[in-house]
Amino acid sequence: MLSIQNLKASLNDGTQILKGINLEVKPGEIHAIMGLNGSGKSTLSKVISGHPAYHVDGGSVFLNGKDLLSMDVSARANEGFFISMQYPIEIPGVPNVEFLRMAMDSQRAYRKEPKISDEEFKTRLNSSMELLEMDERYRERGLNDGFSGGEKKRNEILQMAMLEPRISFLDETDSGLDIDALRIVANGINHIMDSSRAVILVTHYQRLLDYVKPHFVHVLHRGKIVLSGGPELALKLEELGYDWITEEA
Amino acid sequence: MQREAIQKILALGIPKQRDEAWTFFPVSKLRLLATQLQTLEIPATTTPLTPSAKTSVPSPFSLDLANETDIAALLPIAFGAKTLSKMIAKNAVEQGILKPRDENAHTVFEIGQGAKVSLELLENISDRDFASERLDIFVGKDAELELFSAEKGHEGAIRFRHFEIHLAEGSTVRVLDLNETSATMRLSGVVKLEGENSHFEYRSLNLNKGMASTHVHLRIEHKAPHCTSSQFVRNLLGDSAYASYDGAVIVGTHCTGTLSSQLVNTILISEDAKISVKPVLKIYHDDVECTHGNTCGTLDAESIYYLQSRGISFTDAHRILMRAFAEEVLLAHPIATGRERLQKILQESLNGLSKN
Repeated sequence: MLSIQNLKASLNDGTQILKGINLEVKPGEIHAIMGLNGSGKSTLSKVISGHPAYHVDGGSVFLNGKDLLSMDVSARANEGFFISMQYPIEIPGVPNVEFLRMAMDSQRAYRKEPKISDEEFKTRLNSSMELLEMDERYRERGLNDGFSGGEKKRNEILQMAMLEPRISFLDETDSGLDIDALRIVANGINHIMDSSRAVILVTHYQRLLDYVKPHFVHVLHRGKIVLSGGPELALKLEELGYDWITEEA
Repeated sequence: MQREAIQKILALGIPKQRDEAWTFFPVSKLRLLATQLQTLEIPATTTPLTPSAKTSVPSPFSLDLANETDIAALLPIAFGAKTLSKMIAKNAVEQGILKPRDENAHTVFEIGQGAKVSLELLENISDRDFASERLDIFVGKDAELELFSAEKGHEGAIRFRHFEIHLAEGSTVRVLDLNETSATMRLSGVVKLEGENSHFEYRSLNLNKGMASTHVHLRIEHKAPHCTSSQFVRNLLGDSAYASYDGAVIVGTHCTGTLSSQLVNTILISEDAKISVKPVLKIYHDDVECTHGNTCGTLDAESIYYLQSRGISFTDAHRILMRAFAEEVLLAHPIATGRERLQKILQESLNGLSKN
């Protein structure tokens, strides 16, 4: 599904951040990426999604055989790549519901499908909002406008539920969530996940992984994946921290 | 009045860049005006400056041409505009449109006590390069007036609109102005909050493209206690468009409890677009709250990226953000009449701007 080969990337000012990432993600898999602050986790998600602040120095990213790096940001999304932002921005004046519908119709147009019907949109929105226990006021508000940190993260997962991406890169979706919200968001992720999709989670804590069980855990350090393992690796990191890995690296 | 207006213009002279009220206006475009003024035949007889049956200006209101300092206020009269006078009866509820009869127009409105009036100012569609308009509006006690207009001037055209509004006690005036233009336009106005607890609100949205050049020169005079005024302007400037906003609030010595605000937000869509903003506050009393703010920038790259990351194209992301920026001017305004029409114009305009 997603194949990342020797991906190198820099900030536009020339600061190199990713120094050769290799990662293979298959349908049905959940991968967790952990690492110290500044190791390149968020950069990885942004580079794959096509954020304009970064420059790809080398390597490749293919999604189902298609070269994502040759596409613009919207085409990558339309191919099924979804990024849940660590800090979702607020866009006042763009109503949440209108935005969601435009996004869905854009993706449908890309796939040469007709626009979503009122009925289908309403049904899917209602069920996704119910799944994520979202307040009805959400419908009337601007995109993330005045949302708390937790509400923004919940809204990201709502978008994921509505857009049904092939692969979702969730960047610290658990930060800013209280205990109940964490459970709700995790349930949402598990509900969306099926054998045809994949999820990459970036997290600092085991608590999210208690709810969303990863098949693989990777440690990113100074722009490279320096260690990969199973779910037990996250437990070890929780217990011992990163010193033992950074010393080896 | 025509004679006095011409004489006054000749005395004032054609504005120069160093004249404070015309600092931002491309005064070189006034050469045509100077030529036209020279060809005018000055009437032999003098008509009084104060109102009378002859001038159709409703008594007891007067047009103080002798002390006028802005030639934009004099132009329609100098060019022989016939004064249209309209009186709205006490407690009447009226909706209407005002269409300029000629390329130069002068209208006087007297709005009776407690009346509620919604008025659309239709644009001067004269295909001549020069047009001017003056409105004198006298708003009675506890009356409400909503004025809205949508302007589309063609490239090369020069348009002047001047209004003078007098507000009596407890009255409210709301002005909503949408300009989607490639022309050179100057809106000037003097607003006099003469009665206690009167309220004036000015909202404007400028969607300029091509070589458009739009200029607002507004003076709001708080002349009584507990009056409020607000100015909210948004500019979306593409191509080589230029806009300026020169807005002044003058608060008199006895105007306790004055509240006033001015906010101008501009997005430059093109690197060649320009904006000039000059807030002026003259406050002669302590117990007042007057604010002003001004922002200028481009469309937010992070917002564009966010929208794109959900599959929305770059062009549509631009359009969505421009619309969100622009709509706030319309949505927050209580004028319901014509809103759909304004939004349609807005949508068409944004389509044009986003192609740039």
